[in-house]
Amino acid sequence: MSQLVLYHYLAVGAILFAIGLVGFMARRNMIMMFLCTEIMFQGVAINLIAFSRFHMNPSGQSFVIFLLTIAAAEASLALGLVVLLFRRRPTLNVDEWSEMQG
Amino acid sequence: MFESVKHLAGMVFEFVRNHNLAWLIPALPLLASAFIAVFGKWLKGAAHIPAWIAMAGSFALSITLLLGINADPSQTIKDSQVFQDAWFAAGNFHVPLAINVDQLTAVYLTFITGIGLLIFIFAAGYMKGDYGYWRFFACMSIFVFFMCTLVMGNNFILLYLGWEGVGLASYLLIGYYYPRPAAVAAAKKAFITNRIGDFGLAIGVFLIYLHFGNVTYSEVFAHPAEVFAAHPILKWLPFCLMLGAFGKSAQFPLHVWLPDAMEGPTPVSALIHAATMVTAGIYLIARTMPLFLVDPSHTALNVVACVGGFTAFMAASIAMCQYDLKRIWAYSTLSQLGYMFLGLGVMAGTSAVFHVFTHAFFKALLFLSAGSVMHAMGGELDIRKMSGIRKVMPITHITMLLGCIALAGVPFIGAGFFSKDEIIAAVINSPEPHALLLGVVALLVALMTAYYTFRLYFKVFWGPLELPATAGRHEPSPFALADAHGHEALAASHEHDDHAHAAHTPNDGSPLLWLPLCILCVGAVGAGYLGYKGTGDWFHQFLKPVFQTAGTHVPEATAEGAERVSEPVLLALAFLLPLVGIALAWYFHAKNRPATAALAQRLRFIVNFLNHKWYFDELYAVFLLKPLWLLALLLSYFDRYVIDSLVYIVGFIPQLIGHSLKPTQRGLLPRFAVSMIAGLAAIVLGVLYLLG
Repeated sequence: MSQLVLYHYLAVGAILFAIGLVGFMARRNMIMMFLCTEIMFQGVAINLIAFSRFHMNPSGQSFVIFLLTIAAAEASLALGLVVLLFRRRPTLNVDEWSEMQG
Repeated sequence: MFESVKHLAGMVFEFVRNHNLAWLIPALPLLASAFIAVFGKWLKGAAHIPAWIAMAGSFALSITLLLGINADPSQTIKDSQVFQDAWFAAGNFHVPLAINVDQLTAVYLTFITGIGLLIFIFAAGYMKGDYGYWRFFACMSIFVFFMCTLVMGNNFILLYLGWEGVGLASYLLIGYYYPRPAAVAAAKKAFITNRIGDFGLAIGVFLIYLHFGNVTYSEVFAHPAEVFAAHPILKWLPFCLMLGAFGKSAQFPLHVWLPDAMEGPTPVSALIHAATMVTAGIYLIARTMPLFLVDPSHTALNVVACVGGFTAFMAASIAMCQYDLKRIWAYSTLSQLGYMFLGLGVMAGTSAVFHVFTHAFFKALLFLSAGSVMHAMGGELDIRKMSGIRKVMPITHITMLLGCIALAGVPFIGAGFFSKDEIIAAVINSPEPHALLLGVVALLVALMTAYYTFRLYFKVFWGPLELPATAGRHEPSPFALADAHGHEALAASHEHDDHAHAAHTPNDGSPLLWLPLCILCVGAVGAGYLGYKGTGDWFHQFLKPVFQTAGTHVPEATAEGAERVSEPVLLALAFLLPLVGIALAWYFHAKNRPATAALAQRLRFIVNFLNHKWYFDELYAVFLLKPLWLLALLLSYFDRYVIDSLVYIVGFIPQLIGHSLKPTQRGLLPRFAVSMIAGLAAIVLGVLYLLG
């Protein structure tokens, strides 16, 4: 096996992103959809780290630290919203929440 | 004593002249009006005091100007600037706020302020305790202010300001009893009919500005013939000015507003008919006479004469069959104004102004006497309901009699005799081809005038005493009926109720009512002698310069040669016709009243025709109002279905787009995600395609 190069990392990131994307589109459970967005996040983060390492520029890695922090905050917020929605109507199926239709 | 007064007047005149203070004459009523309008709520029953003071001051100044100019005709006030700079300016167009006082203006000012003052004094007694007492005096003062502005301005813009101003003031005063729908309708009718005339005047002023480049009298009247020759369109200018004059002076076909203006309080009628408003039209034509004389065939003046003659006849005939005390006097005003236009039309300008002058006295007298009767009869105006009231109102009886004598033109007693016969003589002896016919009409109208005047007099004051049921009560205030006006109206109504319970026998009322009448009597009898040849003919000599500069020769009744009808015949007719008219009136309305009823029954077709005022209101309703109403309806449908549809179509397009996109918005999160990703993919592919 040859050495691990940039493409491998990028491939992992892309695969993670694709998994998240498909999951987001396919699933109806709100929490699962939310987890899928987190997976897409991680794919993007790996992408960033790979490029950072490739260019030997640490600012990309530090950027990812921030990204993870923000993602954590955002996750707590999103889960809070899900809990609020669940209190209004005991379902997690997004198809049930379609008040925004025109 | 007399000498020292004269000396003082001369000094005041010099002072006013040298210090450019003539503007005080309109300014005083304006100040009074503003003061009353602001402090009226506190002045209450004393609101007439500032108006009286202002009017007295204006009158004193006017008399001073008249005497000063009389003493030295070269001392007329010309272009006296109130401000150093232009009143307003736009580009090359400068309008000065400046004043002219020549003989014509001085005469006008004297009777506007003099008779105005007497009417104001009468009004204080007449309007006592009425709701809105101060509003009344504020409007009356501003009325006088606008009228003074109209006659004093040295340019057409100031004339127009005063012109519109009197229209506004008359609107406010005719609609004074605004809870009464008839008053509101009359006010609107007066205003709108006047607007038609004002439109003519406005066009006239625009034409003058366009082609003369100036609006100052002295500039415009300097060489009108050259400008007229350069711009042929100006031949319509006299007609435009004439339309304005017909509107304001209520001549056919714009006469319909004046009789309805009776809805205002009686002092307002007196002010409109005698001193202000309707005399403005005569002033306009007298002032712009040079523009009328440019056309050598005098077409416009002939139209003026014909319309004047027709209005005189029509109004006199209507007045013969009316039953409303004030309405009869209103039609008589129309008829007398017709005489004045007749005089102007045959270029007897001084005679026309002389008739304005004498008419102001006796018409004010007649209206105020009518007001006094109305006051005593509790607001009743129907002459069929009253009879023989000379026994209860001796003073009003005398004043009314003198007024009637003056209007009928009884030889040597009534002022109307001198001025009216002068006009008739001028008409008959005018060289115009149709003048003889007009002269015959004028003579006929003189007979009719005497008849309808004394018909009223004999009906109301002679015969057995008969009073309407309301006699001796106070006329119920229209404001008492409208609750919406709060405390003051209610208080006023209570006061009226108290009076109404204690109905007293009708009488002449307080001195405030009969004293001005007595003073006016002196004028109604004496004013005629100012212009009588036997007594020096002061009036015509005084006014002559105005019409001489206008290039008019004043056709004298005694002009040699060209006379159609010799003077003795005219004089005999002038003596005879009023007396015949009075005799007829006496026979039908004092001596043998049942015969009148029988005759009226036999002539009921004519009587009805006249009683319905020649059906003018009905004709206008059918031929003007109905078509206009239909046009308005048509236009409203056009607006609703054509214009609105276009707007709706434009508004429908975004709605359509919105509707067509609506199904895509299902509110489903996965769909959002798919569309987002599809969009993202499209962008990425597009970028790649562009780069690759």
